[in-house]
Amino acid sequence: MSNPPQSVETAATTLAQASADEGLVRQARLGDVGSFDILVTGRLDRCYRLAWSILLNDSDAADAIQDALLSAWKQLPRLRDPSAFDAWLNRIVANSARMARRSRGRVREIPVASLGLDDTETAPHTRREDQFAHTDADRLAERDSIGRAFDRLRAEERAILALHYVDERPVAEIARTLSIPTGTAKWRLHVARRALERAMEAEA
Amino acid sequence: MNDRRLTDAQIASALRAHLPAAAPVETRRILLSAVEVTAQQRPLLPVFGWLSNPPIDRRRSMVLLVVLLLAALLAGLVASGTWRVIKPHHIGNGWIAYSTDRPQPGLTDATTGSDIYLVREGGLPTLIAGRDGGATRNACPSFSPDGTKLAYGVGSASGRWIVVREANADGVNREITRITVPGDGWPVCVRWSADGARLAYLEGEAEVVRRLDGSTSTPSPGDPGPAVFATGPDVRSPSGDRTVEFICGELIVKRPDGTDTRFYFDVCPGSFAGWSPDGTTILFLEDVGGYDQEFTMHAFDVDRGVGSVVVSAVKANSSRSMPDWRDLSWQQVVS
Repeated sequence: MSNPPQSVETAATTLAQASADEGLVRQARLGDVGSFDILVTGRLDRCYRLAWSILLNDSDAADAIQDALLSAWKQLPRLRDPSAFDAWLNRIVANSARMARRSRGRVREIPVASLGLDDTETAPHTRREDQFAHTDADRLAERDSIGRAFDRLRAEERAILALHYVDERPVAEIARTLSIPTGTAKWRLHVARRALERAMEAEA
Repeated sequence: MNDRRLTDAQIASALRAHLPAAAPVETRRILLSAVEVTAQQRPLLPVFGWLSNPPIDRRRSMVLLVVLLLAALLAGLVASGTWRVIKPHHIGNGWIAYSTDRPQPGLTDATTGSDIYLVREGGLPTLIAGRDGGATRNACPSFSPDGTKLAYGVGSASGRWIVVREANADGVNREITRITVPGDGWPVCVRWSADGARLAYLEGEAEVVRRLDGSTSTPSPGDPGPAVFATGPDVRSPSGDRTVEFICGELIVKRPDGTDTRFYFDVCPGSFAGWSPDGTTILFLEDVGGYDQEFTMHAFDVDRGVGSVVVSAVKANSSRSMPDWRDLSWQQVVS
């Protein structure tokens, strides 16, 4: 579960980007709307993905992000370390999505495609006896199966998996995003991964 | 049932295909236009944290604000002749113990070690169990129900123990007993039985109960049940009649009948709650600035709806010295 190694060029670009971002955060903290706009624009898709992974729903994810942006703008003067902006913003988005989820009750929305209505398409692949023949169709079926298993996980598990495997955020940053110690983040990542594997077993 | 193992690449590839790569175009447009509206809504004075922790670039405006407030107050005094001071809530001054880490077997960096501190309202944290240069982890402090003892787990390469120390109104003193726990490295997380005669901890998923003389006992009524060790967003009150959850800016006190009471704060992430022994007040920690550099500990009486700052802006300087949000133990006040 380690992060891919960065090349020197990538690391240099990242550092330059981080430095530019810190300047924008300082400006935004002082009330510069344009800087806030630039900061948010570059992160909107990632925030949307995080909110979506918790809410599994486009409109709820959009609402959660809107609340999160308002919250982020209000609280920005309290962010003392501009380099912590990414983890800080992720944390606000995750909290906003959690609140949205709580306010809509315990109802779980499962997309129609996840209810097994497409079993006729996937069944032949999941029933294959030749475990070593991995065709493109097998891989697609497996990917689909992992996606369905993902939707069955708890919101916290989905969030940590999305942050780690899709957005490739370092564990320390994930810990800050979820307001937990680094060790706990590692443990939860491990547990979420096992839960995903178990959910796939249940699918089989 | 297959014992299915997925590789990192399989998970990453599947989740990238499953999760939206980007916000839909229309959603993105709406959200970005909302940024403009959002930007007009920053309050002139974020309520509470801004005053207690003003950013450096706002200090001048704060001085001006204080001058204006004093002028207004003086004008009010002249006009009315009386004024009222709202006193902060006093929390009773039992000691609060916290660890700087939580043991996660095999998953936390074993070279950092962890400490246990004591603090109480109006004071500064005092180290009572150090990490010995990183060789020792001290975790999960837990006061006995009568407040006269403090137990915690200790782990190092040379072994594991449960240490029980005497506690009183002055703090934590001499070691009363040290119970050896099989294995090494990672300390166990102990909790007291209701009568203060036994300690329980989890070994894997099994609960182990030890008497203070070190002997093993079978779990019996009054011993901590599995719910005590459960990790989740809710924290049960000592009597179990309500739970509290802290999310960004909002404290939710839930009752068994499904009703709840919500309190709103200008304190966001990095916070967590622990109950006072009498079940009236919760503690929560604020990660000031949001980056594991310093913290403030708040106390809030959920029945009366009043709060206070226990200790303000304590420098931690790294996540290694930040309190573990989940591991606060509050001493019953003893004479």
